[in-house]
Amino acid sequence: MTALIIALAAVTLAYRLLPLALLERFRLPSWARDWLELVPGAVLAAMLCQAVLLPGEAEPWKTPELLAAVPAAAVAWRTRSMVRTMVTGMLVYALLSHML
Amino acid sequence: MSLPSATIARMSASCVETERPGLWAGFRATLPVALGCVPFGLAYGAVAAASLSPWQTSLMSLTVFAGTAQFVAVSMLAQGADLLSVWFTCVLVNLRLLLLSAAVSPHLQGIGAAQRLASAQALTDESFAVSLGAFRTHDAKPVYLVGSGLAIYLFWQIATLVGRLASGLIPQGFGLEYALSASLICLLFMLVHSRRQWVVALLAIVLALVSRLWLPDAWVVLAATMIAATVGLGLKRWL
Repeated sequence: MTALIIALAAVTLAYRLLPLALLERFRLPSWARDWLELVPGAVLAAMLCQAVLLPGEAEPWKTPELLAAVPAAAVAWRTRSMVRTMVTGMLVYALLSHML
Repeated sequence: MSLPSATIARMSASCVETERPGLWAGFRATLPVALGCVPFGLAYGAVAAASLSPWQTSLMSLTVFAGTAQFVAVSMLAQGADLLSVWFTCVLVNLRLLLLSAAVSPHLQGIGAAQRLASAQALTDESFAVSLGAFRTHDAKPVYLVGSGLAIYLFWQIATLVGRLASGLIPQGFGLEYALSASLICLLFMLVHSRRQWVVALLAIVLALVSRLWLPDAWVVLAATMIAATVGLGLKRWL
């Protein structure tokens, strides 16, 4: 695990330092910039899918994981607040897991 | 009586020199933004509890110092992803830093190697946004960026360690196991703006659902991300 952290840190520092070290105008092709804008949303959405649409569940729409995502998404959409979204999601999830 | 124009030029130059915002100005201007990163740092720490020890959690904050990538890393680890796929996904997520570094480099001309290293490590989405504004409108000194990054660095270290240590204090039954999902939901709304980004995000969900029928769980996120983003390139014409 520590090796993963070091390997990630090395690449991250290279990203930060390379354009500064080259000191010339450093430009990525426009399609690469475009692709990069799409990556973070795709990663988060795919991870969310793994987290709330549990594999191997016969009725995934009835799980507290998926149902709690609805109020959490509503709060996130309205407030963009990490704290409020987490409190809402965690409380609704705790309630539903007691009920279901 | 009139001063020679050369004297006036020198006076005004020295006046500008003393008023150019520096390290401390960058630090102060960034404090509110740094405070805004605290909940995100707490969330990272809480999710990291599933896969990293406290010192590893801090090691990542000290060296990687990139919120989204750190969060993606511990989330994928919590979902049992393969180490190589975690590394590769975060390398993709962090590629964005190349763009920030390139965009800020014209404002950092003529600095020494040590300050260049400090400026590089200080570069985040937040310090970039604050500093670029100051470079453009207030002719800030290059070291402004270091001060700006330092403010975020300090708050990030404290928040992530507190989040990691406090995760053990929340008792069972209060939904802590939902911390990851809830923060993913919030991040999605924070990072996805355009219609095309939303379409790509939805496509990534569909691809994750389909690909996990064949792929081992450890590679689903990486595969879904790369395909969805690549298809997204082709959607530019319509969206």
